[in-house]
Amino acid sequence: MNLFFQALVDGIMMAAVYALVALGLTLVFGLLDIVNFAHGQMLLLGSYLVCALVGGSVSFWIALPVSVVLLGILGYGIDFGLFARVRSSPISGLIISIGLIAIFSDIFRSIWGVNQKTIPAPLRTVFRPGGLTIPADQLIVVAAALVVMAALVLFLRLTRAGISLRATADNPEAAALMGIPVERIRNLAFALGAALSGLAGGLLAGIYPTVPSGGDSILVTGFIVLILGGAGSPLGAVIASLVVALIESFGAVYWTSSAAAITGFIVLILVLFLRPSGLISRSREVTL
Amino acid sequence: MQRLRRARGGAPYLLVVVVAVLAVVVQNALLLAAASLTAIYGLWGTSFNIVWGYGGQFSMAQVALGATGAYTTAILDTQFNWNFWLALVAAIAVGVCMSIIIGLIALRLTGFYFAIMTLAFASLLLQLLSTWNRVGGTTGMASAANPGVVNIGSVHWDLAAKNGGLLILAALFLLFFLGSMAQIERTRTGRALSAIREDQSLAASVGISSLYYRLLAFAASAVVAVVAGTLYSLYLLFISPTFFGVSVVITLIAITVIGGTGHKFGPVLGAAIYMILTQYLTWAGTHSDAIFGAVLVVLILVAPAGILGHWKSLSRWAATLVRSRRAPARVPRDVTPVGVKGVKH
Repeated sequence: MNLFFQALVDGIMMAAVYALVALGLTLVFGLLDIVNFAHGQMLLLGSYLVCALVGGSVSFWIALPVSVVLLGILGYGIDFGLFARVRSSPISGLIISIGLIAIFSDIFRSIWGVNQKTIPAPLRTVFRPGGLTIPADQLIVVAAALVVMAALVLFLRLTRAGISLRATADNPEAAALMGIPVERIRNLAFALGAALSGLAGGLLAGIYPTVPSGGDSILVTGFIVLILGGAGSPLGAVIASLVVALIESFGAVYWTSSAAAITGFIVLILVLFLRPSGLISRSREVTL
Repeated sequence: MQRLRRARGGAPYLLVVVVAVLAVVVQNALLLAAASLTAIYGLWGTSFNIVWGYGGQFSMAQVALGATGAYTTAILDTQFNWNFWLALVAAIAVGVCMSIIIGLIALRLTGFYFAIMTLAFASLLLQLLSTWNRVGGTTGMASAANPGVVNIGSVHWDLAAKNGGLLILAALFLLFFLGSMAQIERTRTGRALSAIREDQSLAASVGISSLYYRLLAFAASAVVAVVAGTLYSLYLLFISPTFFGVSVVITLIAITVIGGTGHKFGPVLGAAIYMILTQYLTWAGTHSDAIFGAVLVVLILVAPAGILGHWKSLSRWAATLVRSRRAPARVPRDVTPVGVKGVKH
């Protein structure tokens, strides 16, 4: 029973991270029609930035927002300079993001080497309610994810930029006719997605060692979540990340972690085959 | 005139032969390695070119199909003592079956969804390989396959040798597949494929079964991918799942786009550029990924059709460059007057 709750706690923590990743992916996909393969590398950049700042004796709590802001700026620049130029051909955007993976991973290898980077845990407190171990930093991840998601929802519902963003996602032409600067909104969406990946990466750096291959596995998981939740649906992304993370953590506890990974891929293939629009999605047109 | 045109069409084939023979004659280890890898990656890129450039489907499973070939020949060769060529035929059969299974499931989708579906299959296969103890899991296994020795009089030609045998073998496969593609382009199948790529619904309206032809292209690409993967394993001598990871996928996409998507010789040209960069420039060798990623990004922005796609305008530009250097004083007749730029037409 203890094992069960431990798996549950771990699963919920990872779900928070996946949700941040998938929210970024879904935001970019919904607005820009780009599946950004470099999203995993952006997350890794967030991790490395936090590691580097903490290594330079900056507090984790300052390093985290700094990396989020830097990633946001980088995302804005990447979209403005690269993706904006190939809006008419989505596959070109995909190829650009693939090229970016190569560039990012080479830079990471040159600067930070191939060995894993670890930083001291930001919070050393461990709660032990009834024999369970819940490190406080895992709670922080969940709390941060919840706060950010709530902020995102409020931003999308209440602010002018957020409403413009949703309008652009719905119908770019109509939005442009209403005087919404569609291109700037798209840049903003990409910047937001990048910032979310920076947050997820920074939070992960506080819990797990940062390794050069970390971007790939989280990207594939991000895609699984994206497809499962229905591309372009934030609520779907959150629910799907819970499902995927729980499969993973329970699989790792009661089975082997590779069996859990294989299950994840099979679930992805089945969902793509049976319901390409996602399990939990509003009726979104999917090119079949 | 007709003969001349045919001769011009044959020039790239001739170039492949000349480079391969030159490398074997000169016996420079670096040149041999670069030429062998060019032929192998050229083949692998060709398999991606068939499914994407000709079939219009962005497949990320070509590397996994190559891994299927490499592992199947390695298992049959080292654990069941099969003859290499028999094992290769079996590997092609396995690869084609796998491509048909993946194709039947994935070809219902297009665009990103197809790309992600093929990526999912590729990841699944690599995950399975790295958990399978028989093939050494994540450590990998020796690919002690040997295509054999050809004896012609006093000449002994070891087909797996690094001193030229493997290169000639790979070059022959390359010429064979590219020649076959040239033949297929002229048939009904080739025309049907280009019709589907241009406009799928229009092609369907004149009775071209899109699924059938796209599946055919995918299966054909699997044959080439299996051969490429097997040759790659002969080159490596030792295979593990990491050799068939995302970085190879990126390289294949990059060489195809750089050479010219949908052009027979595009991947070969791209592979040659990649190998020249990585084998000859030490600095470029360590940063080959980043350089190629950057080239890919820039090329997609300024010249998405690749080198061969812009060949005509490139050669015209080169011609004017040569001409202007020869006669610098000549003023072109139709010079646009200064100041016209801002005027609206």
